[in-house]
Amino acid sequence: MTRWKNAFFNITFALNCLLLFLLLLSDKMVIPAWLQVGGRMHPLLLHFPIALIVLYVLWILFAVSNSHYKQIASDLLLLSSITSVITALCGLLLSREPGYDPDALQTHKWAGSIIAFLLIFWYWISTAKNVSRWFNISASFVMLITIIVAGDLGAAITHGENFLMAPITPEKERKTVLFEEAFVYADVVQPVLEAKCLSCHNSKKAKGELVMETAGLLLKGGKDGRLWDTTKADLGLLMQRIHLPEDEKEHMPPSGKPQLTDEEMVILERWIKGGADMNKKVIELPPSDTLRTIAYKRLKAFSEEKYDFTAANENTIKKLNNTNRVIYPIAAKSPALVVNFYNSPYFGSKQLAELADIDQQVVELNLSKMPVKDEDLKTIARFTNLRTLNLNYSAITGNTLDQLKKLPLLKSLSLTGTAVTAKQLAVLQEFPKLRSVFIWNTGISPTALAAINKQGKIHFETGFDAAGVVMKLTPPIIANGDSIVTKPVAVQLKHYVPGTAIRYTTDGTDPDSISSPIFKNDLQVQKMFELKTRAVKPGWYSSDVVSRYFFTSRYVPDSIELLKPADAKYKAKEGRTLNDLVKSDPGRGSGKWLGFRDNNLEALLFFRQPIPATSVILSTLRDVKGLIFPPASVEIWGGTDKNKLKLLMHLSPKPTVKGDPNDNFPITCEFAPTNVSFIKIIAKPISKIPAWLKDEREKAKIEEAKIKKAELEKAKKEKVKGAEPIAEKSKDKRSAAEKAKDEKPWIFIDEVMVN
Amino acid sequence: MEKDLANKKFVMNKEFFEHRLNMNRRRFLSRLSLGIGSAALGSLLIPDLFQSKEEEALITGLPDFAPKAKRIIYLFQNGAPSQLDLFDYKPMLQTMHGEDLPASIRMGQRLTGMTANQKKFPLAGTTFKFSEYGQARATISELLPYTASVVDDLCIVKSMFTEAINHDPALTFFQTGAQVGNRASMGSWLSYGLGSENKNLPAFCVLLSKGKGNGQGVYSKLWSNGFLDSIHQGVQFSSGENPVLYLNNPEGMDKTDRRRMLDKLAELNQENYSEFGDPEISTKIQQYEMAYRMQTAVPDITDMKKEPESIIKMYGAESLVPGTFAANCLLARKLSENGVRFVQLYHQGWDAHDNLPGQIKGQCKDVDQASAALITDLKQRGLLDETLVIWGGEFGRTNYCQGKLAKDNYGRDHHPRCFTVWMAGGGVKPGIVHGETDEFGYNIVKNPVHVHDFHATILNLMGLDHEKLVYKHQGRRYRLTDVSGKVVKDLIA
Repeated sequence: MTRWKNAFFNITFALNCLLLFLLLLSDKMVIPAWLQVGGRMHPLLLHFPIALIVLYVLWILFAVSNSHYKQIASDLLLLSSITSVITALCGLLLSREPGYDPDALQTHKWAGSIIAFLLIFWYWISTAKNVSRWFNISASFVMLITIIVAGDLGAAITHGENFLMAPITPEKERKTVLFEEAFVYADVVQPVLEAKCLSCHNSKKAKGELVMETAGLLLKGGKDGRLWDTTKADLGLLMQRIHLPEDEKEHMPPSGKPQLTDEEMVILERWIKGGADMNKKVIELPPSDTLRTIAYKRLKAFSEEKYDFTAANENTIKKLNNTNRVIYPIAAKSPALVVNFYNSPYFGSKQLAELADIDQQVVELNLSKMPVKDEDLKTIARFTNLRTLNLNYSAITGNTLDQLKKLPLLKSLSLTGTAVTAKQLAVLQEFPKLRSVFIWNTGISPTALAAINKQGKIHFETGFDAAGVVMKLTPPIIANGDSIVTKPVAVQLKHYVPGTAIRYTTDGTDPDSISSPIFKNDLQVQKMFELKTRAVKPGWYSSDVVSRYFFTSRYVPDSIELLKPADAKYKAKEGRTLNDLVKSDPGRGSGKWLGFRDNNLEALLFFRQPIPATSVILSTLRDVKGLIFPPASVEIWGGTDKNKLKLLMHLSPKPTVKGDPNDNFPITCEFAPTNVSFIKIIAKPISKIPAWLKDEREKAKIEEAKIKKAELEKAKKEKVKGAEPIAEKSKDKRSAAEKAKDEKPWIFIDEVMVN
Repeated sequence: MEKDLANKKFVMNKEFFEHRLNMNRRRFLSRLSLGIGSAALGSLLIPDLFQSKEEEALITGLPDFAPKAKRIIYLFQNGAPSQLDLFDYKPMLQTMHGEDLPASIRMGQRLTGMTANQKKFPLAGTTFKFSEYGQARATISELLPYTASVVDDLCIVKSMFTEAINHDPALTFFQTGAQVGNRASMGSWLSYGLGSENKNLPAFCVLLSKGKGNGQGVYSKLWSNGFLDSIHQGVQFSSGENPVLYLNNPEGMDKTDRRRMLDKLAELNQENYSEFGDPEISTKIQQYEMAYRMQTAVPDITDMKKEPESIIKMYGAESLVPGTFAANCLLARKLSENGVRFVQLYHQGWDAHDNLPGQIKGQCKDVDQASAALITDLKQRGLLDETLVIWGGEFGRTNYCQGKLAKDNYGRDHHPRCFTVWMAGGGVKPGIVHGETDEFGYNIVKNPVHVHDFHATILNLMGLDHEKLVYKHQGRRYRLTDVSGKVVKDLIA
């Protein structure tokens, strides 16, 4: 047994010698591929010495002393020693592979090797000399600590710095720099250098005699000269080195070190290109500048406020809180309070003065629309921690604005809609922290403002300026519910924009903005007319025209019988459709229109009591695309005996010509006053569509056929190429007669009115 | 009759007894979980098992940390506007107009039933002109000239994505954090987490408007309080001339009478509450009180006559026509200015499956000017810093054409894999563009933002930790962000 141990010890010793030798010459080592495999065993093997040493420590601490005690302790120590030296050797081989941070590697390498050396020394001393148990115990603790340190250093290489303690180390608070206050060099460029260059180019290491710690040293450059030269196309040394391929020796940062991201390269390039200015502020860059855009993303736009005063008494806050004065901390556990006032009738100076108990805690005060008086600003000046003050639409005149100078932290002041003047605002420049002032709708002229604005760091928000902006008005609203009235009714027109004139016509022409009558609630529906109206106002573009037909229906038929049925698709509620006093919109699909194509429209109107009729209005439709036209002819028959009706009126509406609007088409048939109980209406659809329309449709068909043919040919070609075959569309198999029927014109009607 | 009543009472008492029994059993069981073994395991699984009692974990009514935004106005573009025609400019689609969408881009991803059976997916390039605007050089289409004019206030997120592919689930997902409709809406969560700023108005208001484009419905489940107390429910304002109906006291009833009536009613309700303990009863009492206070607060807000002419010019003349998007924007500003935590607008009509170029023109005309005006208006009052404005739909639209493609006409199907949303004010970085899509505008290539991330970010801006804003219901804790979501720090100023 001892022979074996001796042999093991000798091997371990030899390996340690080898380790020392390689350690000193590690820079010159070239590792063959097959040995690399051995090197890569390092992360596996390293667990053996750790476990064995821990086991050894436990053994000498807790094992009961007997004959085997020493034997086992010494065996464990030897095993630890041999595994640790093998681990260290493997690690050394692995360290020659690229991709590791050389600095971190160096310390870990030495720490690991020291463990191996210490262990063999310890084993040797504990076998050669009879060391006390206490020596062993103290030595093992030293060992444990060394292992933890070496292990942590190793972890830093594979898992990153401070891997072990990171979860419990508080994150370093980043200095927050406001975008408005940031410098291009100090706050955008320098952080990049710090993160990616400074680990080598610092005053301690000064690789290549270059130190990048300060602006002055950066300007000096290194042993190869100055870092940039804006006269050169490649901008000089720094840019050259950065843009070399990564495997090139000269490439920076060196391979294995964290590399610059694309964005970081752009930052450096843009900064150098712009003259490498050390004192330029980010906001001085033009708005579309790339550097500015990147800086904007990286910097904070707002600073976090710190509130270090004591909190107010909770009961005080509770007592002061009510529905018109709401007080709450800006966040749970924060001493800073926000105070909002609501409901102006409840507000008075007293309500503000009552806040005296919390005047050190209020950081935001919202008095928007409250009748705050000039002397109230004195009270407000006592809220010394106030940051944000909203006085929009309050009653202040601005005479006492200087009172607020006492607020050392006031950052934002809203004065929208108040009576302040440009002169009074001058005092604001003396406010130490004030950055934003809102003065929209105060009547301060742009020129007066420009004068104040030049002076300082305050941003005056003037908001939207309506001068010279001309917008289009919305059309008037025709508020009448019914378009068909049975007795005279006033037309109701309205417009929501104050000061708007509503002009209208009743003769079908478009109203103009000068001579058409202005609506003054004096328009009555007494007979059928088309109302056209538009809104007009100085400083605005006139609105679009809206129109609506108004109909009178003095005698509503008690029933209407359709003598010939309407088309099955458009039969609505049949006869009842025509006397329901509801005007439908011009959409043919609304289900409220009766359509006739194969038949004439023939309807019989019946009145229980004879009436003295003078006219009949047919509300028809024109929709050229849908082949809906006014009838070719209309006949009105009437009388008191159903079988002895007289022709009262016959007329042929004007045929549709190209360009006629698709709209309602009311037809009025007037005749001499006649007493009637029955009225029969016969309207014939036009026999065929107008010639001009036919031509148009033919042309469109030919066009379509051409396109289809081209598509088909294209598809065929693709088919040859092996593309997906496209099924030819099934041809229309209906007979020519059926197809011709599609071309027949319609009559659409939705209401008949008798006067 | 009497027997009936007695019987009823017995049933009631029995239910109460069982309820209490239940409570105890549940408590007992949850205590049991603190047994030694499960405690060790439990402390690993539930990190703060020993640190806090769950009922005390959340102080409702206050943010966890200093908020960047106090209020939200959400301009929801219902039906999904086409990002490819408004914000996400893809010249590649124009050069490849009519060619088939490469399979390598689509990668076999799910399509809706409306185009899944299409033999071809011809790419459709936008017919609208794009230009670059602002310091971020954001691409915005000619359809949105007013939006482009405020681009330096916008934080444009081009890389939103969602899980749902049809309107209802996607909308519900956006509003409640789940595709099934039984959860609490975003506004309700904020009302629950932060409470109402102005006790005279509801914390969560909803305004609807319709565009002329192909519309998709909105329904009250989108502003439902879900499992939260019903005082957190969204209050829908009417689109007519009186946004809140029946606010005035009827003839013969003056303010003191009303007060006395409500006091008596509250007394009766209180009696009922102490007997039955149903939380809905106390909600009812609170709602009556709210309505009473609204009688004074609302008429002042809904009265548009006091608005100066420059405001009308800014929002457009439509802003005085009740029920339009512009009018709702103006009303939203007034509500928000008066402390309403969450104003939710829905504008319908963006679902352009066909004739997109025609439809989107009208839709943009409806919303462009007023959306931009809202931002300018908040800004000129010093309110933009504390108000978050959000604009966007429930998903995007496809880069390929649905139906027949013409040279200047196309339709686009639903596309959940990438779309654009913008935010402004309230602690988001102004003037940036976040995220990127591939050159076909089909997949996201940089900085994707999931709906849960979006919710987490919004809650963060409002000072709430989305992992702490929980409500225990039916034995589990619910969050707006369900079980995922991370705050997108890059969006936060």
